[in-house]
Amino acid sequence: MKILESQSAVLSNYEVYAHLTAMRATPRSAPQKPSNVDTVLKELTDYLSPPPASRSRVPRYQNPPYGAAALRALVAGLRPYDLTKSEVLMIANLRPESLGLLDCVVEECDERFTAERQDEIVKIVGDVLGRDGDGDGDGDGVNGDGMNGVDGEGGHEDAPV
Amino acid sequence: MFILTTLSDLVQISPEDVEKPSGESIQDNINVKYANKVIQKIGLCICVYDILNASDGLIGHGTGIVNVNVEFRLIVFRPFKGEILLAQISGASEYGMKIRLDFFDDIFVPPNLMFPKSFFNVQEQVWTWVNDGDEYFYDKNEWVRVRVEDEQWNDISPSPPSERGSEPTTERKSPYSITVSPLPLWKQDVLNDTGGSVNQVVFPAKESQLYYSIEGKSQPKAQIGSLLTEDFQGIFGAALLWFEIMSVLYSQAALAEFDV
Repeated sequence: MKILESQSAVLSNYEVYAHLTAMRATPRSAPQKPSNVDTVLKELTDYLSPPPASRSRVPRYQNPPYGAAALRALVAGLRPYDLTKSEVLMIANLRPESLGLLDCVVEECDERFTAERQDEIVKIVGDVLGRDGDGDGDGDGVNGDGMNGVDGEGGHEDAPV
Repeated sequence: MFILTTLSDLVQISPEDVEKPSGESIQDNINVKYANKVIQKIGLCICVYDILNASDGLIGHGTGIVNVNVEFRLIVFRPFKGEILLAQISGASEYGMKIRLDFFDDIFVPPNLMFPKSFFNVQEQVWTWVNDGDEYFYDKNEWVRVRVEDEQWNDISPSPPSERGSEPTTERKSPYSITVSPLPLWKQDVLNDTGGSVNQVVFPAKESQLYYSIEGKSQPKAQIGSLLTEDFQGIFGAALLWFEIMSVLYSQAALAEFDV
């Protein structure tokens, strides 16, 4: 084994999830022998999947009810705000819906952005990646693919569009 | 949280796998060798992302094994310092809190990184944070947001017998573990729709968030609102609260080992 490049690229949670999903969907000529790859793939898919309705208390709604196009739209939308790469990555992974979480994700948020700008960022994230929780469901996304696969959140009677 | 790492390795395809398409058997071989294993200073390998190139297969004498030199990229779990993860509490002791992801268990919060005024509650066996006389419990299996502070690597590859000594090794260390510190988790985040349970973890607001709420800004207000008692309503009450919060903040800042 030789390490050619220790970090060639950084992946967001969505990209990893998309890769795992695609991998499972690829037809195989012969079934794979059981190995440790099954363990890690199952556990990782569990972590990255949108939570089922029965676990709606789990605050894991950063996970992908959105598609690759939404990710691109997010990067484009956040470009004017001069965020660093790691900040954009964390925003894509965590989907901050409140100023509180945004403040944790973005370093020195208060010095860099006025209150209105911070509200704008949260709004962009909500518009592009979709919101959860507050009863508006996932129907407001511009993102199209993947939306229908999302479980409805527990007690809400949010009818998916 | 995830990175791509480019590696090159010799892949040996045994005769029974020759009938598979070569791309598939190379990928399977790499996955079996690397998946769910830690490479020192690289991270926890997940699986193959793609194969960049592969040499011709060469068969050695005596075996039917096909040897292929392959360059490939792996998906690797390696959160960067300062990254925020969403994880689950898996245990607690006086030495800190253990936290896990579904696929990775070795995440720790040492006591010195817990919030000020939190302590290990021996009866309940949970860490407890005291805020304004209210106790908040870091219950087991609760989801928390944590920030990566540090990582530790232990090379656990076996040593030669000459260096091993006579006594058997006492404990197995983890090859890769992460030290994290807890982050705020707001009530509206966890109170999704099942209503409030008593033991929701609510972490202290940072100084800036307290400012917000007092100036009437949107989000963390809910939390502060819940901390207000009826005595504090009205303008005079707000002024009083302001001084109280400021004094608490300054005393916390003096004690705190983390930066507010």
